[in-house]
Amino acid sequence: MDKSTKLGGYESFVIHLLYFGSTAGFIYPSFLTRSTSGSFWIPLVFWCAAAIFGAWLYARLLSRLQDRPLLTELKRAVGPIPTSLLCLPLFVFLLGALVVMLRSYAEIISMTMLPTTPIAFLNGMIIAPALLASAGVMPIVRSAKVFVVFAVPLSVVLLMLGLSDLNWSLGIPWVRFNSDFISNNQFYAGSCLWMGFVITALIQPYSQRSARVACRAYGLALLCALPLIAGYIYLPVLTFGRELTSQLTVPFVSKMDSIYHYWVIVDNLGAIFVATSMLYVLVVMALKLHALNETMRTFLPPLGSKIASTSLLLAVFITATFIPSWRDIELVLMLTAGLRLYVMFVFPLLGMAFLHAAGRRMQERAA
Amino acid sequence: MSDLLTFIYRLDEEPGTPSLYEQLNEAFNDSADYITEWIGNNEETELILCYLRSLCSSVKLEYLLQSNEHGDISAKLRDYRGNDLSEGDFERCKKAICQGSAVLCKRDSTEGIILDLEYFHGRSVQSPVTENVLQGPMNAFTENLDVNTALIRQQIRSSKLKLWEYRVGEESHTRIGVYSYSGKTDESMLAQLKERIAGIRTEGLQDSGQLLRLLLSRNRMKLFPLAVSTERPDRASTELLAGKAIIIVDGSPFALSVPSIYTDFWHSPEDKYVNGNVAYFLLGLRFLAMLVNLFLPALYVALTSVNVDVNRLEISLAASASREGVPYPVFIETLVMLIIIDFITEAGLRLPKTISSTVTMVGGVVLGQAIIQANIVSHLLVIVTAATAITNFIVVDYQMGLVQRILKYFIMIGATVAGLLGVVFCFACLVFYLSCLESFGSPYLTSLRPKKGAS
Repeated sequence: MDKSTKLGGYESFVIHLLYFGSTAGFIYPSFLTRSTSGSFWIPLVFWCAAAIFGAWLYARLLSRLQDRPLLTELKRAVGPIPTSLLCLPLFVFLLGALVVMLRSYAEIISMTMLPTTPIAFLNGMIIAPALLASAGVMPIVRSAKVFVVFAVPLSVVLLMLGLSDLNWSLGIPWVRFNSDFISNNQFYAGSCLWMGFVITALIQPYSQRSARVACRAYGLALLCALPLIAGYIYLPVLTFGRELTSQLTVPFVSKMDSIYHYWVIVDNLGAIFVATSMLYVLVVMALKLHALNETMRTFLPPLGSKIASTSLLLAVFITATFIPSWRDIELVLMLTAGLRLYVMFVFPLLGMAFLHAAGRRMQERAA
Repeated sequence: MSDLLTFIYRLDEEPGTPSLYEQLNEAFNDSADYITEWIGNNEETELILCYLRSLCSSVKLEYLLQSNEHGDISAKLRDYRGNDLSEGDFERCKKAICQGSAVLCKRDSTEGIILDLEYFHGRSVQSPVTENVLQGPMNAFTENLDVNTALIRQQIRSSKLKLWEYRVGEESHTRIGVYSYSGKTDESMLAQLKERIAGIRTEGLQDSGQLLRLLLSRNRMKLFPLAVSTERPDRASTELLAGKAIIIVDGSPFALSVPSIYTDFWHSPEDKYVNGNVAYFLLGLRFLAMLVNLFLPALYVALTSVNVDVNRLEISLAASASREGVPYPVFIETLVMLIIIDFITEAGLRLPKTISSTVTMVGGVVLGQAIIQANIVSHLLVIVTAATAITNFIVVDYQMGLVQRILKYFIMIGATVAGLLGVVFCFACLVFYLSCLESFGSPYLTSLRPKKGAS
């Protein structure tokens, strides 16, 4: 009987797959389609490479932990105040990512399925992931393993149904190397899709071996999710054209709504897509909440961590409820792009430098 | 072999203190089946046998009572060749009498000799009542712990099969047997289980289900059964060989298998006796039935009242036409039908078998037809309800079936509030809840397949 308390390769793979599924379908495509006038696959490949590099940096950092949690080890090596300063952007990033995910998903539900339901009620769905997060990381992983069985095949079926009514000429230019996306804010706003490894880095202790396994799992998940992500971008483009797609708020949902086959018993496939996405979103929100709780637990005394978790939940709920509109969600993502780039690349480099310096200091003292 | 006469010589007599005979008489005062028999003299001392007529074996008693002659019975006692004997004070003798033993004492002694004359009143080994055997051994556990032990030992003839006995219940003193297969069962789980059993404080214990409740009393938020309950020795032995522990309560024909995970409740013992592919097909069928049972009424509510646009227009129109004239909202309509079908199910279970089929017929056909003609529910809902009821009976484990009967209401409320998304949300909550559950230290939602490289 499997009683393990650590994430193995398969568990990490499942979590990363769900992470991609939770973000790729409804936030990412509109950013990417607006970010370039060239071929869409180029920024996609660019981000893939950046994500793999980021995951590799984190793997290097995590391999130095010797079976201890990342933040605990940093706190032990450089003290609580420098670690707090180092982790503050990380904390803000996690909080922001959670708020954006909750609100954007509630917004999509409101746009597609339940237009008269108040956003505050829809945001109340965060209670379920919060309770799961409080139970620990293994219940989240077990839930993820169940959801992946239901959600991924459904997503694949939806993608395959999306292959109908395509006009391949609408995807032109297929090969145009254009670097205009580098200077586009929306390109950086899309970084939210590629940050799954940051969350898994915070939720459990790592050793050299487990860090390597986690990095490989991320790579494999990225490889498997790539057709999914490409489908979410290209299927609307090949149906509606580049111009119209870039104007749509949620292009893939619109694509799903446009599908009609006499043998498909469901008329509104967009609703099925949104319902399937809920499985991805709930698990990822639980993971983010757990990572936030773990971050707070490192810096707060044990007595205060429960109160802090509850306050955190309330803060997320209230912030998500009071974001005025979808456009503001996009704005938040664009404004916090720098924060995400710091978390992706600078934080692991600084962490490695701090750990290295602390190790040298200890060696000198020992000598 | 014990020498009864030697034991009698050793019995203490303390002048001034009440004798055992008097104390027992006082303790069992007003017990019509309590018998005290003068069986003879031994060196001018009267020997008395005290026992409960209802619990002692008349055949075993016959030896001591048949030649109840007034006189010395030393020679007869010297030749005693019965069960092992033991001495005891008042408390021990009282307890022994309650367990079916007889106590032999002198009129003035403060101690007595306990003779094991217990006779078990129970049925013989028969076929299982609650689990239909399609293929495999036809015998089932009985209410006798020793018989049940023998049935398991007949399946596993190995010294690795271990058995520990406990007594639980301050008044009932019920015997409990804990079985494990050495080398396969998780020792920490076993130690935890033994500790929990030893820590049980209750007046009486009548059934294994009650024992499970007492074992899990700390976990108040549990809804799902955390141990498989079975009448079949073949299933118990299979579980033992798979590394589980089996608990049997004396007086209950149901054995508990711990730890049990969610998928255990979907396996039938027959799965091992039929072709592997057929077993997988049947397993798939059961899971499909579970999904239909849990989600069909909720989907009906969601797709006919909240997310009407999700369905094909033709289906939505057909559903609307079917509901024409029905005065209630879809939720009320569905709730009424589900409650009625649960009434019928419960009535069928409680009534004698000869009448239950009539109730099912009256409930299913007559009531179903009448309720449609009265325009209380739609035709489509009758199909949905019937499918829900049928799929509930596919559940292998009775306790799991009960849980599903409750859960479908919970999911239906979700569907009423948020339609299709409510159904998905309830499903997610259900999975979250199952993920947090543990059965005796093992995660409830886990795979039985060991990890690669794990010891």
